[in-house]
Formats: sequence, structure tokens, C-alpha cells
Amino acid sequence: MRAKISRRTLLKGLVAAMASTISMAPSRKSSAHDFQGYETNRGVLVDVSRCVGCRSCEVACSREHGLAPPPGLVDNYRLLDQQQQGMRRTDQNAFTVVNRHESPLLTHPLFKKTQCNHCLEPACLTACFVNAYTKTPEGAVIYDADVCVGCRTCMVACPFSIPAFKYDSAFAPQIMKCNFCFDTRLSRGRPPACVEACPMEALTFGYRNDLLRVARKRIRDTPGRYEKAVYGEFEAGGTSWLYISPVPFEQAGFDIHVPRQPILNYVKDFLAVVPMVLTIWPGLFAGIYLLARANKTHKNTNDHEDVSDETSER
Amino acid sequence: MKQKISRRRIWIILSLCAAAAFCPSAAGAPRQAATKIEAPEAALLDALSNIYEGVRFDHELHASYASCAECHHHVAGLPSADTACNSCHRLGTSASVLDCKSCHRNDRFSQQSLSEKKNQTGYHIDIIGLLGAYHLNCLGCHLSLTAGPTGCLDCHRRKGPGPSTPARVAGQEERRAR
Repeated sequence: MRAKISRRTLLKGLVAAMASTISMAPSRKSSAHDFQGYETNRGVLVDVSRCVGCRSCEVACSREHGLAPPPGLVDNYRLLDQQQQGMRRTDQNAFTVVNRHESPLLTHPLFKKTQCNHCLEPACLTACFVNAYTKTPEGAVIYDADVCVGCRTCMVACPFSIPAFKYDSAFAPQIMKCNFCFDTRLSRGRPPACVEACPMEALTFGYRNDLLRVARKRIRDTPGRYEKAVYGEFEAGGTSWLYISPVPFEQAGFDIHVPRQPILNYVKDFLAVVPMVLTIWPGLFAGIYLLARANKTHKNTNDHEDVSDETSER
Repeated sequence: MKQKISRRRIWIILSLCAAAAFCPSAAGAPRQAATKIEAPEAALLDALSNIYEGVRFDHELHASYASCAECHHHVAGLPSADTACNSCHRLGTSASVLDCKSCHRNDRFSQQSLSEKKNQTGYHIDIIGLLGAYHLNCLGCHLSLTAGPTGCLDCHRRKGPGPSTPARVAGQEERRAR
């Protein structure tokens, strides 16, 4: 007689395996939940009230990364005039763009610089299934084109719509996005090119924890000048780039519907189940199938043996 | 050994000389103004000139528009009008200093000042650098009063021909005509 797994031992094993995976899942979830970012996380504080829209940051960025020079004349505001039809966004030729925003509360326009915010828990990184993204201890979210398979999930995942794809390159397409000047500057402790170029010091470089203090100091010291909030302190679980604005953030071109927790949190519960599905389900369904088949074959071939089997089990 | 020390001394003396030679000429308002209370007619603000030439600043003209303290925060010998500075620097030598770069530093991104900034909790956590102090002070007024130049090339002249200089200048003149 061939060695058979009894129904009882099989079910017992399945229940035990299920229980162990379920008990493991919540502990894994909570261990990654409270990540507050690296201590050494650098950042940039953007003071929207100071920016005059000179676009020096765009020029400095394109020079630093060898990209096409920004369109239009930098000291001519006509490009920003054209934006009434729609805001410019980051693309393969521009890691950063400055947009003009009109607020009903102000007589003068506001300018908001857009670039990768280098989240503490980046959605692009967590969405990437080949680990092409890295969050460095310095705070930069960098991308490795050699690993990338070009699925562009990161572009969908990013709550700020930052990563762009080099569509016009047939043989070396890749994601194009701000890398905080990591290779050339940040890894040596130097500020990114845009910060160094800003004549109004609308961009302040430093450690993120220090910048939060600076932001609160500015809000406290000049009452009425700023909204009493720092955009990026909690948005998407916290970002390295922080913003203070003289008007409500939605009037200065910010997306205020970005959730206050990491994007990963929305899929964490689901993702915690995935290992269980992958480990338990094959065994479970294979077991059910085997049982069903065993019953069927027993009934078909030898009713007598089947009856004796059942009685012996009881 | 003896030779080594003397060489070092020479270097120190040389660097001191260089510092002494450069400091007053590079500063906006010369230090002498602080003691004599004699405002200069014009100043060349060129401590930062990099891709742009320094700005020829008509001090006399601006002094007729605004009081000294509006730009300098304080008049020579008097405490600063800025309450944030005042709480500590009411007394002492800092009240006699008028040039911008003695408080607003020129080396924002040097290793030294970046490391100094780390974990700072005191009052000096957010002092604007020299570049920002110039631009925020000038443009802040020019934009809010809608008077005075606001374009880059209205104040600065580019050093050497830039890649798009003719187009830039054309755009500049067009904007000026409007």
C-alpha cells in the first residue's frame, strides 16, 4: 500500500501553516510603519513668498545634468504668461520647472518650483518591483537605469507626478527625474545646483529636522506672512523638500489632496497577504485537490477498501 | 625648523594683507562710514559677481527715498531696528557695523558654515546669506512699490557674451518698452 497522508494530518498541517502566516503578517507591518526618515536626511526649504520666477534654478539644473536648456528666455516672463493654458510639469528635459500662480488674496503672482520632493517613504521606490530606486541616507531618492525594465509603475505611483520617461530614446529609454544632485553634490554634503543658483534664497538647504525648525521660526517671527503649516512635513508620509507659502497651499499650486501617510500604507495590508497567498494557497488547493481525487478514485476502484479505510480512521 | 616657522609667518602676514586689501573694496558701504556717518554717493556691490558684473548702486538716490534703517536695519551707533537682533546686540560693537556682509555671510555653502548649521537651535538658525540679503532687500522694495528695475539685466550686466545674450537683451528691451 502506498504511503498516504491522512485527511486529518493534512488539515491539521494546513490550519497550522495558515495560523503562523497570519500571526506573522501584522508584526511585519508594524515594524515598517513608524519610519520617520533618516537622521541625516537633507532637505530644502522652499519659501514661495520669496521666489520671483527668475528660473535660475531651471538653468542651473539643466547645466548640472547636461539637459536641454530651458525653453524661452529666462529673464523674460512670457513663458510664464503662456501658462494660463496649463502648468508646465517635469519632463525628460527638465527635472525642475517654475510655474506662476495667481492668488485672489494677493496683488502679485506667486511662483512655485516643482521637482522631486524626495519622500521619506517614496511611493516610486515601493512600487518598483526590480528595486531600481534607492533612498540614500542623505535623503535623495535615486534611480538606477541599469536595473529598470521600463514598466513605468513609478510614474503612476508618484503622488506628485514627477518621474518622466525618455520616450524618444528607442534604445536607452529610462526614467528621468531629479536626483537631488546626488552623484555630483549631495553625496559630498554640498547643496543641489538649484539651491546654489537661487538669488532670492527662496531655497534653503540643510538637514530636514533643522529646516522644519527654520520654517516654524519664519512662520512665528513674521505673523500673517505665511500660512501656519509646512507643506511636506506630513504629506505622503513626509518629504525632504518642504514648502511655506503666504496663501493657502491650493492657491499656490500645491496638491492638498495628497494623503498624510506614505502611499505604501494603502497597499501594506494587501501586500502582507501576498506571501500568505503564495505559500499557503498552493498547498491548500493542492491538498483539497488531492483529497477530492483520492475520494473519487477510491469510490471508483474499490468500495470495500474505501469503507475499511474510513472505519480504520474512525 | 626655524625656516618653516618663518615661512608660515610670511603666509599669515600675506593673507592678512590680502584680507585687508579686499575687505573694504568688496563691501557695499565702506567701514569708515560707520564711524564718520558719511554716506557714500555710490557703491559698487560686487562681492558676489560671478556670471554678472557687480551692481552700481546709487546710494545717494536711495537715501533720498528711504531712511537708512530701512535697508541697513540700523544707523551707525544705534541699535538695530530688527527686534530679533536687538534682544542680544543692543550693546556692543555690532551696532557700529553697517556693511551687509558682516552679518549676512557670503559663504553659505562652505563646509564650515554647513556644518555649523547642523542642529542649531539658537537665534542664528535662519540668517539670510549675502546673496539673498541683497536681492530680497532690493527686489522686495522694487516689486512692492512697483518702482525701480526688477529684471536681472536691469541691474546687472552679464560678464562676457552669454549663449543667448542678444535674444536676452532684445527681450529685456521689449519688456522695458511695454
